[in-house]
Order: sequence, then C-alpha cells, then structure tokens
Amino acid sequence: MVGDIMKRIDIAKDFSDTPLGRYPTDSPVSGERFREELLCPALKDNDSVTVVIDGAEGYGSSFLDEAFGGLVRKGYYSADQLEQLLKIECNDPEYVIYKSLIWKYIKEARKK
Amino acid sequence: MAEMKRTTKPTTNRGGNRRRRHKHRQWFLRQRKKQLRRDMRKKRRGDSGARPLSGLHLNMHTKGSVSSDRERRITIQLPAVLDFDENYEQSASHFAVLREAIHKRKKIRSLDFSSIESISPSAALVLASEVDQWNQQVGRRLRANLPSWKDDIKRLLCQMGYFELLELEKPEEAWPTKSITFLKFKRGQANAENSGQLAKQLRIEIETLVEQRIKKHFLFEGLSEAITNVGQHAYRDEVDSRRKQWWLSASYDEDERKLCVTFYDQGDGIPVTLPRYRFFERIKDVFNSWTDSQKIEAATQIGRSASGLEERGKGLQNLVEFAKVHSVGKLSIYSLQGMYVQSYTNDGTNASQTSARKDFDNSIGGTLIEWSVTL
Repeated sequence: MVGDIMKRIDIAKDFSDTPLGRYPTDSPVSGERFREELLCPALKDNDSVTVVIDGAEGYGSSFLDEAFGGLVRKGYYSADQLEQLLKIECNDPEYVIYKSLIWKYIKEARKK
Repeated sequence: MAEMKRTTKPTTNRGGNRRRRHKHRQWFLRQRKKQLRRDMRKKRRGDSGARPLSGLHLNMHTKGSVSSDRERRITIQLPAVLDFDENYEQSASHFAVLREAIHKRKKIRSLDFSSIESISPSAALVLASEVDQWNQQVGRRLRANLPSWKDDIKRLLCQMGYFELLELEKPEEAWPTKSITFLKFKRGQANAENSGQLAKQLRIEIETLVEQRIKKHFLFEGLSEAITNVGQHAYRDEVDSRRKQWWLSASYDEDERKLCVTFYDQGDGIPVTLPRYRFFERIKDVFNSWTDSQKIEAATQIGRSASGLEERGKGLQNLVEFAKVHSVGKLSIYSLQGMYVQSYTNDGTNASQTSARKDFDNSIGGTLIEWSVTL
C-alpha cells in the first residue's frame, strides 16, 4: 500500500518572509501569486498540504484572504474539501491568530 | 468771419464733449467689468485672505510666509510649529504651497527652516516627502540656510535624512541630546519588490533604537495593508507605478517610552477612494453629504461590520491592531480634510477604546497614518 503524499510549504522560506498584497499589481510576493504558483500546484499534486506560517514578518488580511479564501472564490476547492486537504502549521503563539484568520477567510469565501 | 467762427466753434465743442463723455463711459464700463471679474474670482476662491503670488494660492496662514523676488523666485518660510496635532491648519497650508510650487515647477529660491521651533514626526515626514518630490521632479538643489536652524531641529532633521535630501554637508558639531530620536525616512513605490523589505528594515531599526523586541507582526500587518492600499486605490489616475509613492518613518521618545510610526502617501485620499466600494456606491446620495472625517471613520468599519460584503474591504481593519495591542496606543488617520483617531488603553484587566473625528479647512494632500504606542 502506498502512503499518502504530503507536501510542506514554508511561506517564509519557500516564498517570502515579507509576503504582501492581494494581487501581483500590489507586490511581486502577493497572495494571488502564492496561491497560483505554490499552493494550487501543491494541492493538485498531493494528498495533503501543510503550510507553515511561522517566520514571516507578518501577514496582512489582503494576502491571507487572496491566498486561501481565493481557493474557494476561484472555484478550485470547497471549504469542506480544504478541511481535508490543507493543514496550517504554527508554532509561534503570536501567529496563532493568522491560523484562525485563514480558516475564517476560507469559510467566508463564496465561489464566484 | 468772426461771427461765423463764433457760431461753428460751439458746434465742434459739443461733438468733442460727446466723444469725451462716450470715451469716459466706455472707460467706466471697462473698469466696472474688471471689478466684477475680480469680485467673481474672489468669490470662487472662497477665501477672502487668498491672493495668488507667482501663481500660487495663499491663504490667511501662508500669505505672510511666501515672498518672491524680482526674478519671481519664491521663498517659503516654514512656521514655528509644524505639528498636525497642535497646529494643523498652518502646517497643512504651508505644505500645500510647497506642493503647488513643485507641481507647477516654480522657481523656489529657498525653503526657510529658521523659524521652526518644534516639528512632529508626522509633519517631518510629510515635509520630507515634499522635498523628496522636488528632488525627483525638479532636480535642482533646494536651498536651505543651515546656520539659521535651531540646534534641536537640525539634529532631528539630520536624523530623518534631510541633509541628504537638501544636499547639505553634515556638520561635525555635537548637538544637544534630547530624548526624541527620528529614524531616517524610507520611500517606497507601489508594486516594488522591496516594499515588504523596507517595512522589515524599519522594524529592525526600531528594535535597535528601543533596545527591545516589538510586536513585529502587528506592525507589518498595518504597514503591509497601508502599502497595498497605495497600489490599489490611492493613485487612481497615475499610470506610472514609479509615481505611486509612499514614505515611511518612525520616532522614539525615550523619556515617555513613546514609539511613533508614520506612513504617508500623496494619493487621492480615503474620502475619494471609498465610494469605489460597491456598498458606498449604493448609498452615494447619503454618502456624498458626509464630511471627510466621517468617510474615514466609515472606511475603518468596512470588514468589521460588513463582513463578507466584499473581499477587498478588510484592509483598514489591519491598521488598528498595532495600536490595540499596547497598554496605550493610538491610531490617527488624516486624509484630505478629515482626521479620525482611535485610542486604546489596556492595563491588563481593563481595556477601553475611544474615538474622535475632526474636519479641517485645509487638506493634508493625501493620507497620513500614524501609530503612536507606549512601550
């Protein structure tokens, strides 16, 4: 039996330690770019994906909403599917707030 | 013949008198028209004290501070107190004149700093942005007579980077040490690769200055949203992203342990950009009657009260967090002619929040965000 394929993305190390903005027009390290270039391909090719949010300077809601809420708005996945596929890892207690915000944005997002 | 002359002369005089009367009436009518035009211009300006000087619009706060020489080169004397809290109208009016002079590419002979006795971090940043614009758009060196500056002002402006802006040589003299220290301002632009790094760099400089770690993620949260707003909304008609600029700085008062972080852009302003949200478009008849400060307050409420309304409306809520998480914190947002302030206190057991709005006669020429917290 072949085990589940898992992928781990560390935002600070694999993308940027200063992620910023919603669209590529806001910044080259925007939420849309993270979603399209790292998160979506990882979700497509793996059975589950763990996103590590520690280590970055911080996160604005524009980045988080577009990166994670955008998965639902763009029709890639439903919130229920993401609960099965996506895991947010956070070891720094100060960043726990971003973990809850990510799930909030996923649940609030509606497919367009 | 003599009889004939006597009879014809009065006839000629009558014709001449008529012409003179006609000419005089025409002259009088022209003068009256000129006066009417002057009155109309005065009425349109809506400010009885305003007089254009070398094409600049002055008001009661600036008419004594701007002069021009025979070559139409202007000198702008900055007021004694440059501070939006204590002296808003005068500070904003002087910056507006400088901005107009730069925009119209007027010949500025000098910018006179000699009267300045105190300058707040926010006012220093806005002034730095104007001088920076002059350097970028006009390029000629802006003259400033350094020896006439007060020592403390010299020290603060040197720390903020004015000596580089004004191409002044830094003197080696030891300046008096005061409890307030300014950090050198940073200029960023929309969609630039280094925007986040500039915010991070400022945080590192702040931590070195205050000798302790600060709540960096909350600061970055606020700054990243302020930067995002500049790219998305602030400069709507500007197609060149290099001109979509913002300025950032910080200061620390060691005696009061007060950290102040300021962010400024010269964009359209929140009261103008806010109606672009669908919700405000729907209530535009009511919305248009609001003052600028009411519109700024409304902008901070989007995302809090209208959750799910629109995904692009959560940004300004991020600004309050850095002020909220300290024992004493204040977020002030100045945009165009309005100001909205949220103040927080938290002693560990009791937390309270107050807010205030104010509207002014003069515009700040963009949006200024100021976080003031006690460490």
